[in-house]
Amino acid sequence: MSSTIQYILIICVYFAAMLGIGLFFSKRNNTKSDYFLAKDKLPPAVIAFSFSATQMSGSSYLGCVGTMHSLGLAYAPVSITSAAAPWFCYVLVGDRVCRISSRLKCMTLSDLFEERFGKRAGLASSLIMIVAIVPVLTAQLKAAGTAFETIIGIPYLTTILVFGVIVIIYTLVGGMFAVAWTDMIQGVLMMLGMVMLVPIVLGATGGISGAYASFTTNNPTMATFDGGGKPLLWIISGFLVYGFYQIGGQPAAITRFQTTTQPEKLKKSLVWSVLFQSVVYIGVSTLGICSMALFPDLAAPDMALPNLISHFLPPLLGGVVLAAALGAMMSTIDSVLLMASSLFVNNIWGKALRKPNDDKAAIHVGRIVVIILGLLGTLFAIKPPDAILWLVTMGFSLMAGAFTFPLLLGVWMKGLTPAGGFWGMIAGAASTVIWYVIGYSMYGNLNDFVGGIWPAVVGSLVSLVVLLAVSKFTAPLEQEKLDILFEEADVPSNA
Amino acid sequence: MKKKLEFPIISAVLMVIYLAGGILVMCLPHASPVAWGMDFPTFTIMYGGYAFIILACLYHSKTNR
Repeated sequence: MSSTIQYILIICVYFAAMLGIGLFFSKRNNTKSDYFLAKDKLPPAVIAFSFSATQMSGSSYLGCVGTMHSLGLAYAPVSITSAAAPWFCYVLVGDRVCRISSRLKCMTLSDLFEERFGKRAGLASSLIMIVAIVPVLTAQLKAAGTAFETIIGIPYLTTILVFGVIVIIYTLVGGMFAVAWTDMIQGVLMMLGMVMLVPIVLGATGGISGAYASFTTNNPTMATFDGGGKPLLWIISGFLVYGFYQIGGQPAAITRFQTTTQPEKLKKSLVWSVLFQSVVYIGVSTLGICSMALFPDLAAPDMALPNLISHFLPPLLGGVVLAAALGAMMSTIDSVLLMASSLFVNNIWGKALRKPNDDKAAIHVGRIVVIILGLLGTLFAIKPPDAILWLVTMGFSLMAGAFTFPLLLGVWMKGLTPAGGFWGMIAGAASTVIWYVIGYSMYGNLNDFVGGIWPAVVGSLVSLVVLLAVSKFTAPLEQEKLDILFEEADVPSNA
Repeated sequence: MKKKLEFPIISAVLMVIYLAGGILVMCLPHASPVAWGMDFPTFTIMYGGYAFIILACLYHSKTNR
């Protein structure tokens, strides 16, 4: 049997398993709370893996080794701080998001923003999230298509169609149950991939010390944190953005804190999440160094991980690692689809348009939205328009700039006002885009920024200043609502 | 019902130490190797810092602080 057939065989088994999980859970979705949140029906480990797998896209798994290959040690701070992201998210907002959502029955993060900062903030956050995250579907599908065309020769169009249809089906029928449990399996595969590949590759390079010695000999200019051609401020702001700024930048992952009414569960999930992400990112960093030691002149750095797989693993095991990479992309797509669907159903269809939003109607409309968005993402992935590519690049930063401080301070500080929250979000989003545009006009691309400072950092700082300044001069939320939000009064029984 | 919210202050301090320490370590000049041929800054960012993060998470999960 040829190696390509063996790769395809493993990936077919993997696809069948994902579909099976979706169908298995399809009968459990009786209410919209089941469909969009699987409320109180997920164990801590599943919440953890789902949070982390959602946060780590295909670019974290397949792309990180390649980026490390291109930038050398300059990318190591991004790896470690990506592993720290759950720590920031769970500790700084997890507990509060869980409690507020439970008390006030918030289904989405926009519901929470609406309770805290009023209706227009809720609607603005829904629109920013939908605009920023839907292009992620296109990006992940495109990444899957390119990777599989290059690695095993499956035509690009076939990959994105098969891949897109499978994710749409299991998300559509299984809702959050299927999304979370498939994320769990995808997460375990991602860890398994690292656990299998790293020792074998290290064996071939003479262990960590051997790999590091070869890396520094082959690439002396890349053996320093500022040696990859990026300014130190770029590296420092990347260190902040991939860790702390995930609070606002990853609403699809933060939504996992709304899947339970028990904050204690999240304490256990935190440990699972951070262990999982640490294993993956230690593996990714180590493989990056090994790849530079073994293949210093690799023409396409994106092929660093596939290159290691094909050199060091038999096709059946290599297929498992490739399935893991596929899993990283799928887990992001399914979460984005479900989150966009819940935002549309709950915050736009139900609240803004005042359409029927009972359990049956919500699940029905939610499923239609999953199909439409999934198909749109797949269609755009066939030939992504320039505007979509722009949004893909900006999406995370846009949300990090808009939401990080309104969310973090909003759940802890009583003194912030609805106007402060709303204008903080708008100012954060606007200044993030402006910073991108300034960078683009100066350097001609979206990856170089003025002074090396990432747009999310600039956007969030502007958002913070506006949030605090406007809150100083505008009316606070009604005392009754504040007391409920900050647990100083019970929720009225008719609420 | 009146409940005082408890901000996890010790974890927040650990986060500040992590962020400030991480930035400081990145700015340090290269020194002699301490482990696996890596100097202190490189070893900390590549491997050692993960232990700090994991221990800090375990601390929060046990104490809620």
